[in-house]
Amino acid sequence: KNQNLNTWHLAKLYLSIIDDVIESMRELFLDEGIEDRVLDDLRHLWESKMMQSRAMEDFRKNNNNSSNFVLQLPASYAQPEQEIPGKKRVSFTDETVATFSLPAGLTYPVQIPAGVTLQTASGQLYKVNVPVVVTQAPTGQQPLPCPGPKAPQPQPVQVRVNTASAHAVAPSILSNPTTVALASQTKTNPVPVQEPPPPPPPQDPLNSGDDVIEQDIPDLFDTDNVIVCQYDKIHRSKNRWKFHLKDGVMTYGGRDYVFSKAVGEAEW
Amino acid sequence: MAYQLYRNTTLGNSLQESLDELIQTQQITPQLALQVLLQFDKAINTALANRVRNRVNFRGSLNTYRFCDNVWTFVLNDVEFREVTDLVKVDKVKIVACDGKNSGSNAGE
Repeated sequence: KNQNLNTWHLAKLYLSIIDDVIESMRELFLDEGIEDRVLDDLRHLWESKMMQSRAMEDFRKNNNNSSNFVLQLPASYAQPEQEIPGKKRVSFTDETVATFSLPAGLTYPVQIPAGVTLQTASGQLYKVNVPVVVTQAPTGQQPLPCPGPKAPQPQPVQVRVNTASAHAVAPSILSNPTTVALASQTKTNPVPVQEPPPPPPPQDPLNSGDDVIEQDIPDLFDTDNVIVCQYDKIHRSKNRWKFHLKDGVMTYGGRDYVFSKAVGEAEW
Repeated sequence: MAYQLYRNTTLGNSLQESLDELIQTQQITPQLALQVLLQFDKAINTALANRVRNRVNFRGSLNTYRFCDNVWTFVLNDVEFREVTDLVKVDKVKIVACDGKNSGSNAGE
């Protein structure tokens, strides 16, 4: 709750600094005869790295712009209630939908291999027994027709994604879930998403083909907790120290914090 | 000239990485990259001074201290950072602090 607010403010602050820097460089870039596109590339690179960093993890989780895709179970999938040991029963009806968030910044198409368990924000677990490919489609595109009550197909099933609200169809069968979940939902498991390198589409002004795919979660064991700041006053009396600091940026466990004033005490 | 010490932050490091990539692909020169970094120094110093308005308290034990070229470096253990009701506990933190009195006129890391 408070952490989310903190991250929101932080993201706003960071984006405003990025904006400041980029815009104030326009004239210089122009004078140097460099295309506007290059400056836009710089912004894109910078923003992407920031948004993918662990510092922005909370922001990503709560950001509506993150890609959601909905696995809609086929209407004809009339199975009896499945039970996962230890989890509550889930029954499949026409209305059964599950929304999953993929971390922002992924380049589509995204391939989710078979056997991966997906977890919704509400904690529901779904195990996907067929490989699923998530592609991006223009908004409003109709979901794919349901493959029918047959056994799941061996080939990957296309799951189309709209950026805001997506509807897709893929067969999914509940079975004993494994502990793997998608990146943004858990802090401890590796990302099961495999991204086949897409060919760069023609006329892509943002050179998405040059994007580096973040397949690995940023280092979970960041112990480089550093505060960079300025001091107003440092005071010592015997072994008791007092710190009066200002304008600081702190990275702790990959998360960022800022302060305008920090007052502290420590014994040496 | 604004302090360069904020280049070693998530924001600053990601900018440097981005600039490096553009230099690698020869879209910009290292000199231009330096100009961008200098602009970054100005922007972040200004932003922190003007757009951040919170106060934090902390308490811990001081492991080491160093004062050199007007820069204080501390390593603290078992630190509690408190902001209103929020509490963050850190087992180890390094503080690098430049002189706030002369801010804007020195360059330091």
